[in-house]
Amino acid sequence: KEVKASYEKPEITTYTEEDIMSQ
Amino acid sequence: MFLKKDKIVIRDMGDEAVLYNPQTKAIHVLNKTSSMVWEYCDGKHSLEMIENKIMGKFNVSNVQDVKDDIRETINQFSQLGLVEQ
Repeated sequence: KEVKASYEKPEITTYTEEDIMSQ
Repeated sequence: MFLKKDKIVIRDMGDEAVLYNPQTKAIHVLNKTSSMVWEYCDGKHSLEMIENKIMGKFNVSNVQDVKDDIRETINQFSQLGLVEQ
């Protein structure tokens, strides 16, 4: 019996150049 | 049909994916589901086909929620300059 994974809402996390440089 | 833009740099991270858009210099981290939607943006899958593929992979309790999520994800891809129609 194929066991399907639970549905996970799609997510996109965005990092701008500014976000990265501020680190 | 939706097609990934040519210049996007893609790094496969197992279930997830990291995309770099050299035009906007932004990095986008996709979780498992959005990564699957991204994979199907190959110019061969219609929205309905993508919905069916995704729903076939998961235990889905609310079909309409999943369809809304997929549409929203593709809209985001488009707004971020990652895909073209």
